[in-house]
This record gives sequence, structure tokens and C-alpha cells, in this order.
Amino acid sequence: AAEAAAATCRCSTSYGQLLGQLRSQADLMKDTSRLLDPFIRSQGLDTPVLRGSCKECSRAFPSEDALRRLSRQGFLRTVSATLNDVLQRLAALQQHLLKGKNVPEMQVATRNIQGVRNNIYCMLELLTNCSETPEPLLPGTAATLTPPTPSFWFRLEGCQFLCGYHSFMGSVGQVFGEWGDSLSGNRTHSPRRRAL
Amino acid sequence: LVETCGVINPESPVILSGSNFTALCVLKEKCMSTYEVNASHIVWKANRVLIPEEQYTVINATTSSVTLTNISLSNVQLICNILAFGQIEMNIYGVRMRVGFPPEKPKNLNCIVNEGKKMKCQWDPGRETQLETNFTLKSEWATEKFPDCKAKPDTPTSCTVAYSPVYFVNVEVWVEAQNALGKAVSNHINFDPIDRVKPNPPYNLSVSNSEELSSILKLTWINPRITNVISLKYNIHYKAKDASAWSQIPPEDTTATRTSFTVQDLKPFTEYVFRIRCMKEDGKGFWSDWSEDASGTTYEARP
Repeated sequence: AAEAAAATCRCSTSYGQLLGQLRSQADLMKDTSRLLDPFIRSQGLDTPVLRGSCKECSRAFPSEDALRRLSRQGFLRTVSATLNDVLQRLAALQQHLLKGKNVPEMQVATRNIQGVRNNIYCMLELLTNCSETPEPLLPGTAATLTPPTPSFWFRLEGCQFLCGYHSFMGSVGQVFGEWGDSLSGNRTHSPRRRAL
Repeated sequence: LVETCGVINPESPVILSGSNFTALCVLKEKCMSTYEVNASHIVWKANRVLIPEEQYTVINATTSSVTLTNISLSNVQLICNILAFGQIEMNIYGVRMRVGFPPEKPKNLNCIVNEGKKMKCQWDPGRETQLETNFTLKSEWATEKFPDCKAKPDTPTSCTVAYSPVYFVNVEVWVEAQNALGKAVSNHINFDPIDRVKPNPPYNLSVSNSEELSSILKLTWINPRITNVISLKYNIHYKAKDASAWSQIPPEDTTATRTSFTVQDLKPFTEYVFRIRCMKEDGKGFWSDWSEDASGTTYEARP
């Protein structure tokens, strides 16, 4: 049966490498200079007041404590579902604000998010020993797509959402940082590594 | 269009080099009567050279076959003629025979990500097939397949993918080779593109001396952008202006990302030339090209 299970594995990356990659990705993606800051500049929000409003990050994302309370699988599924929402939101921002113009930062962010979701899929394979094919990474409920409100509020909402996204990735990186270095860690995140 | 008096089957044969091959020439009834011929009047030529009759077989009134053995020429023009009225040689039909090999399994597949550019992979195609052979580079994540990368005819052993690299996500890559005689697939390789990076070289290398210490020169430079994703290590070369051989700073002294380095134990009042290159700190990937040379002169020794 083990061979049959192994046969359905689609990933071959080791736990250690995957965990390292997920940590590196989270580290990159929490950096506001990669998406939020260019968005603020391109959307004419680069004034002290508007920047301040922007930094009132959207609360549409699970908090770090909520993430930490989940099992590893639950955490992975929640992150993946949330990022799927981010993908949809980025597409909406691109369509409504950027008139479909290809903005490099948006493209890179989209690709990186897809990369994280791929790694999460592989980590779920490892955690389930490929015995159960990880369900398709379903869209989450973190943020519903709001119909485009008047442009200014949509821009402000957009940058608050991106602020939330970066902050969320910081939390995700934090939790991954607390994962044990071996696959057989217990159900929740390894307390040994929890930040004091 | 002049209607042909017959046809050769197969029309565009592709044959394994060294094997035997049989072709048929089938005459049309109308022509047979016009020129008072039948299959026994057929003569075969390969690249304009008459094929001995022993290799012919008259199948029936309309059809003659010819068998060629141990074919090795890569291109053969096979012609079926008839001796009209018993003496005038007339061409019935001609085909081009392509002779070659099926592709071998591509080997030594290797990929490189030049910083800021798309991933390029290259491979050894194996023996020459003498046939038009298509190489396709395939790549995928566990959850996503990427567009095929078809090697261009003039560069059949490499391909640059159409998508930008995504670091920290393992990609699986392999090559498929295909021609009329078969298909072969390379081994799959699985790697994180971050481990195949060739960084851009450090730039704006500049050299400054020190009035207090005549045996040192301080180098400063700007790192390539990739440093916001990976840590670097460096090779620093230096030589006196007129020397021919470079000396190298011990690599263990330049193992982490930095933007300056002070070279010591130099001769006072001497012009030195420097160059620097970098790569990923853990040694995975490729060395960058060398930076532009930069030179500077140590201060005079105090009397």
C-alpha cells in the first residue's frame, strides 16, 4: 500500500527543503517594498495622511494567534485558501485600477503566491504521506470580492488589503519559523521553537 | 500539370540507417498502353546510379519493387523510370528517402537562471540523427504545468523558457526528443531555481587609499539586485598594474554579503588593479562574470 500511496505523490521535495522554501517565501512576501509601496506610489496615495490610512491594514486576514492555534494541516489549508483570495483580489485590482495593464510587481506577487500554494500542496502531501490527495486548494472566505466602489475608496481599500496581505505573510513566516525541523512534529506547531 | 505515369510507394520514406528498404513503382494503365510498357520495363536509380536488376522484383504487370540493403547514405533520391518503346528512358516518379536514426536519450540536462532573465536549459542531444529532430523542454510544478519550450532549429540543444523564474519553488524539468523514427525522453531533474542563479557581477567597483596606512587599499562596490533574495560570497582578484598573474583574496575572507573590503599587505606607492565576482553564498549556482577592473595606488610610505 505504501508503494501505491507513494505512487500518487506528485512532489519530491524533502520536508527540510520545503520548510526552508516556505520560510524564504514568507520572508520575501512580507516585504512591503515588493507590492504595497509601489501600489501606494502608482495610485497617488503617497501622502502622509493617505499613507497612514493605508497602514490601517485590512482585518480580513486570520491573525497570527489564530494561525498558531491550528493544526499544521489546518494552518496550511487556511494559508492556501487565504492566498487564493489574495490572487482574486489582485486580479480585481489589476482590472479595475490598472486597466488590465501588466504591473511587474503585481505579476511577481501573483507568481510568488502561486509558488507558495504549490509548496503548501507539497507539504500537505508530505504531512498526509500522500495517503489522501490534498483536496483542491479551495478559495477561502477571508475577503469577498467587493464590487468596485467609487475609485478613491476602491484604491484605499485596495492598499489596506495589500497592507493586510504583507502583514499576514509576516505572521505566516512567524508560524513556519516555529515548525520543528522534522516531519514527525506533533499536531500543533512545535512549542520548542515558539518565540518567547 | 503533366499527369504522372505512376507513383512510388511509400511517397516520403524515412528509413533507419543500415536497414533494408523496399519500394514499389506502380504504373498507370493509360500510360502502359500509350508507351507499350509494363512493370518489366521499369529501371530504378538511386542518386542517378542504376540499381542492378537483381534487386528488382516484378510484382505484377503494373508494379515493380526494388530492395535496397544496408542503407547508410543520409539522403537518397530514388527514381523509377521506364524504357518506353523498349529504348527511350522516361522518368515515371521520384522520391527522396531520408535515412537516419531515432533520437537518443538527451543527457546532461542542466539549467541556469541568469539574474533578471528567464531560465535557460541545455542538454547533450546524443548521436547525430541525420533527420529533422525536435527537442522540447518540459517543465512543471506539482500543481502547474508550464508552456512547452521548443528548441529552435539553429539551437537544438538549448531552450529559454517563456516564464520568469519563481524562486523557492522546486520545478521539474526534462527534455523530449522526437523525429520520424522515434522519441526519447531525458531524465527528469528537480531543483529550486534559486540554486541555479548566475548573479550579475558587482558594479561600480572603486578603490581608495589611506594616508595613514600605505600598505592598504579599500575596495567598495554595489551588489547586484539579487542580494534581496540570496546571500553572496565573492572572489576578489588583484595584481600590481604590470603583473600578469592575478592573486586572489582567500575565499574564506569573503564568504558573506558585503559592499567593501580592505586589501592589506600591499607595496607602498604602487598601482594595483582589482576585479570581483560573486555567487550564492552556499556555493549553489554559478559565479557571476567578473566586474569591470578598477585600479588604485597605495599611499607613499612615511619616511
